[in-house]
Amino acid sequence: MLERSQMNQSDAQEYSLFQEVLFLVALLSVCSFIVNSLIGIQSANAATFAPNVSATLTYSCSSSHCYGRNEWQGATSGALTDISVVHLSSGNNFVDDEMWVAQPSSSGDCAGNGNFCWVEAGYANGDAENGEIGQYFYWADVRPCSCGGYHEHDSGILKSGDYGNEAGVGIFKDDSSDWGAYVDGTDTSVSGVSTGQTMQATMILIGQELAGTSGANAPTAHFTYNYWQDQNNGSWHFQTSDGTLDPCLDNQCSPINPPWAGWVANQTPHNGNGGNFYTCTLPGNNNPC
Amino acid sequence: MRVTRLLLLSIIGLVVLVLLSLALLSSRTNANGTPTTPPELQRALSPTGPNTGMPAIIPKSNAPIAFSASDVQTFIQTHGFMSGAVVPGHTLKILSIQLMTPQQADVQGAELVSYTSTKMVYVAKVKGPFYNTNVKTLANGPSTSLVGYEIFDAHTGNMLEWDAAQSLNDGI
Repeated sequence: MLERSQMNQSDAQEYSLFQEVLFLVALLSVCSFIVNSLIGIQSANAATFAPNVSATLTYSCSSSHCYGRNEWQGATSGALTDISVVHLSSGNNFVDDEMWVAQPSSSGDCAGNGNFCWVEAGYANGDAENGEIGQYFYWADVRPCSCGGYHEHDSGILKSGDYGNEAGVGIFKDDSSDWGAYVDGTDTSVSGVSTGQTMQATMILIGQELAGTSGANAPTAHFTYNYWQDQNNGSWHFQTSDGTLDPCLDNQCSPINPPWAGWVANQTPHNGNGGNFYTCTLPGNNNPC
Repeated sequence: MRVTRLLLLSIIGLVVLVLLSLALLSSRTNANGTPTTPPELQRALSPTGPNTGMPAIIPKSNAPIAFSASDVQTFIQTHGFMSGAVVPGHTLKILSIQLMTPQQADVQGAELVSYTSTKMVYVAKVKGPFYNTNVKTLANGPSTSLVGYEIFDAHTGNMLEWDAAQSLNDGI
């Protein structure tokens, strides 16, 4: 009797421990779900876009340039992103990775540039009439004044240390009529002030622009730590909404050419840290990024 | 006894989770609920290096003005205008090449304030029309520009700015 009683007690203890473990696992799962929901880091499916193009890398991006990019809307006084610097081949025009901060407007030179005022900054390859001049950082703008249209400022040719590293890109309002812009790489940088820039920005875009008809090659670049600045108090915030992939601007909508672009799986902005956006222009029918 | 132990373990687990969550949130925000300044943002907001522009004209000396307007003319005639080729049926025409200070150029619409080491610049005004092949646009703007500017540091020969405009009356 004694042995049987001890055996039953032992079974009961093992059964109890098993139940406890099960209960704790269930409790932890529920708590994790609740907490993760509260702080907005639940996982999500990545948004990607795969245009229908042939494997041979020809495209139609001359008269109308092609884009693979993401847009956030809302009043802002600045934006930041880190772009990984990869070796670009321009093909017969240019290709770049960049960020824009903009406002729809028909004032001054903006009217003649798609009815947008903007400041942009990033890196590009291909810019000279007589062939490639190499890869460089740049910033450019179009202002709501009749003051020269499109203005571009380039750095010198990038150095070897710039490649394979991040370049910090920033565009932000200095005061009521000036916006600062910079691209800060490991060995090279460029910065400047968009003067007389009175736009009230309502758009931030990141991504790739492609011009020409053939031969470009742009390995996958990543845009991380995407920030926007609150125009009311100047505080910086990670982008937490996914924005719009390949937005329609100036009546130009979904591209039928490269660049390819999208959010890395489970690294969209609402997953945290501003998200991880990618772009590329590479041969392939399916997304080759 | 078992029920007490179960409850105790559950409460401990819950407390640990809450503490972890608070730690995660506090690393992103300060007491006002605004983001703190993480390292990547601190780096981004720090001053960048000096601006030198893109190497273009090879200077002939180490003098403050190291080449002439004629050298600017030769460079433009050799390399064309930065925005793109001249529209067929037209020829590139150099309207003016002026030597001035960056401040004088800025009064006319240039954006040279960040080129702090530049003392004098050549401002070249050219007429096309030119294709806007190399204009990096937000949305599709005009395919050509009538007039353009190229601005060179008179000491280094580097190109500091180029502009593509629609009207001869536009500023820089």
